[in-house]
Amino acid sequence: MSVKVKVFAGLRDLMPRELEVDGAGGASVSALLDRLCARYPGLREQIFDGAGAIKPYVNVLKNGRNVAFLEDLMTVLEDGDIVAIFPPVAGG
Amino acid sequence: MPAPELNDYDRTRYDRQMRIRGFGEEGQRKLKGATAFVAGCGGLGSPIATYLATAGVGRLVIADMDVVDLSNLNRQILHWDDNVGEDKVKSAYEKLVRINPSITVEPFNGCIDGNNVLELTKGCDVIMDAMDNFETRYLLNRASLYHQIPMIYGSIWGLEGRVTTLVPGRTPCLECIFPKAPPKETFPVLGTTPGVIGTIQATEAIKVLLGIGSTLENRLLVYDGEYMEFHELKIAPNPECPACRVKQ
Repeated sequence: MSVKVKVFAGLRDLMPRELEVDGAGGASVSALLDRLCARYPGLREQIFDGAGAIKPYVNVLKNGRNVAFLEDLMTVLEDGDIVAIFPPVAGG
Repeated sequence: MPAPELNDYDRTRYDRQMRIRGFGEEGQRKLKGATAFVAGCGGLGSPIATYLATAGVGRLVIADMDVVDLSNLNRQILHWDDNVGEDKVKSAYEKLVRINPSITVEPFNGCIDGNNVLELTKGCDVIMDAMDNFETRYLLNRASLYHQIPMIYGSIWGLEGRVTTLVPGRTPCLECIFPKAPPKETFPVLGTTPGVIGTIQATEAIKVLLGIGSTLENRLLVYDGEYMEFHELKIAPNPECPACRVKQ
């Protein structure tokens, strides 16, 4: 029951670019992100605001769909899902 | 206003692109009669302005408030070593009018702010986002909504870039996608990253001006140069967006 996680831009300084998370299938996006944040120091500050919501400029996608348009943090993941996390990039 | 006629110089200069499906003499006349606002003459602004100029977009309004710094030169290809210390719009203007002497380039040397953004973009057909911060991008977004003209968004970080085409009434606006500005930072970047993203932005602008092909409307294209992958994110309007859901 694993889920594949892909991260982009500066998040790659904090954790591997791509990894399989066992046991994440059947659980929520929230549970997955909590596990990742517990494992990788600094990640929580990059993804969550002070109130525990996903920062408004961070895009978290389940199989290419923004979880903000699904059930947000309560979106349930299934075995084999791909979760992609895109932090903002502002440069020009 | 009818599109301007082409002359012999134009027909020769643009011969290769006028052969492209959807271009032709009519398309080239549209480009000749078009105005693009290029917000920023840096990493993204350099390829954007260069390729819009070479394509024959008749009028470019270029804006920047900075002077050329030595650390800009790894990516800002309109500026050269002997331009360090000069105003970026002056440096960019001098190159662009030599790259294509048949177009008009209007430099604005200053800060794009809430007081001038609507006037600066008035009469433009497309806004090219080549800024390095979201505060100014939000102003450009408001101008795009106010004038009902498309804005081609681009941003970069390291070997990564993002690009999409925002069309009022047909796509989300910038504030729908990024409701809050990320913190400012001195970002890492390789020059090829704005090269890739800026040329995609210029391609999108030319397609929008000509009305050909399919643009990046409702799609955010992510370029991952580190692993050489492109990803596409579907984007949608935010029904409660404070920028585009209220009457401008």
